[in-house]
Amino acid sequence: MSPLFEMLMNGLLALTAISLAMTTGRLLLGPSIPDRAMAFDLVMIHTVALIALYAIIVDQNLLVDAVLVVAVLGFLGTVALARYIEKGGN
Amino acid sequence: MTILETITFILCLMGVFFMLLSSFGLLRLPDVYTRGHSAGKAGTIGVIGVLLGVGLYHADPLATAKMLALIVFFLLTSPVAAQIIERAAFVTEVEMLENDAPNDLKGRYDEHGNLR
Repeated sequence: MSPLFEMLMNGLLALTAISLAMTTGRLLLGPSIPDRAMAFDLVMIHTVALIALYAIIVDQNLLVDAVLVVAVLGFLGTVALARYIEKGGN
Repeated sequence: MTILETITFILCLMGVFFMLLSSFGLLRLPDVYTRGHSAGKAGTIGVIGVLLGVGLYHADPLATAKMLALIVFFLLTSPVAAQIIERAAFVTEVEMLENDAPNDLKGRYDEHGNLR
């Protein structure tokens, strides 16, 4: 891996971290609970992208499995949150 | 940089750009129904770009196959998740913007989320 490519990939990782911070802002100050659930969905998507970019930088194929697990858990968590909001906590 | 590294960087750059757009929209748009557009569409396109770059860069065919399966998974589930959250917001009567007409579903759900 060339040093220029590694530097550019680290820059993309930093941009994704900034984007994750903005999403966390909506998660903290969202006025209603569906706002927070939507921000949680986007936080899990950002986590997937962060791990995928990190898998390129350290050149580890094993991190691909971690990406799969985080993606499935994020979708299940979002669906569970939406059902909880809709049924009113029963 | 080799050609493979250049293509990987361009794909990941497009993905990260769309993810930045999506989180900016989530932070700046006025109500929950408009925020659903940025979270449901731009977020999906962004993560698909990043995953395409990763799947192209790894020489292992198994890793590439897993990334392609994950892209199909995101294409199927991410808009569904956004729609489920919007439906929960509508059923629990989160207020929308002023002058947001037409609202054809207003009053057609009871408090359990069933159509009248």
